[in-house]
Amino acid sequence: MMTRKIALSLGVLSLGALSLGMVALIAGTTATPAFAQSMSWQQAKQQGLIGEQPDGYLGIVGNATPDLRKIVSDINIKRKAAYTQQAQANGATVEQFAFTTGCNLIARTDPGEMYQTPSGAWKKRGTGAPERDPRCA
Amino acid sequence: MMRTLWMNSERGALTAALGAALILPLSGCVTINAPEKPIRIDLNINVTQEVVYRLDKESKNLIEDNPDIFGGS
Repeated sequence: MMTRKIALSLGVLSLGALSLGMVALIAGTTATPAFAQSMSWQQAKQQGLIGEQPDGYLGIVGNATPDLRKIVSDINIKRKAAYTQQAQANGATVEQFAFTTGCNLIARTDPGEMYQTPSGAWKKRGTGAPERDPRCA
Repeated sequence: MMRTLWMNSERGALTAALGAALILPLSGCVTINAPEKPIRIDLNINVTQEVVYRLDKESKNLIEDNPDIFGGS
């Protein structure tokens, strides 16, 4: 009877240790990439560190750290390539297509995110309509 | 002698009147000053509302098709 009780408690203990280990393992796999890589551009956007500009590109809202510069330029290079391709397909200039997309991207910002007004000032998106260029559709 | 003198003065008056006639229109010229504000050339001048309307649908499609660079909603 006594030995059975000990064996039972040992089993419970080992089970507890196993589950603890698994929790640590799961936490480890999710936490490691966040530290190894810099944040994603979406995370920076959600935090209000970067925002949408009327010209169709991302901009840095406050302090321009090397990390933020890299995040923004990586995306902007890809955006410019996409605008260039679409501009050619639609008989427009890259600037025209980028500006049109800027109108749409500012319209799509979530409340709390930052965007640039036509005057060049950064503004936090509220629940209402954003302040956009009068040429926006 | 007197006559020639008189004639000379008459000629002088004539040239003076002629000179005044030439100068008068010049004083009436509109003076143009350089603007005090710096001349700002708007680079978005060729982005008209008409162009934005024309490209709007294609622009929205581009955003939808590329959530990796435009973000998904």
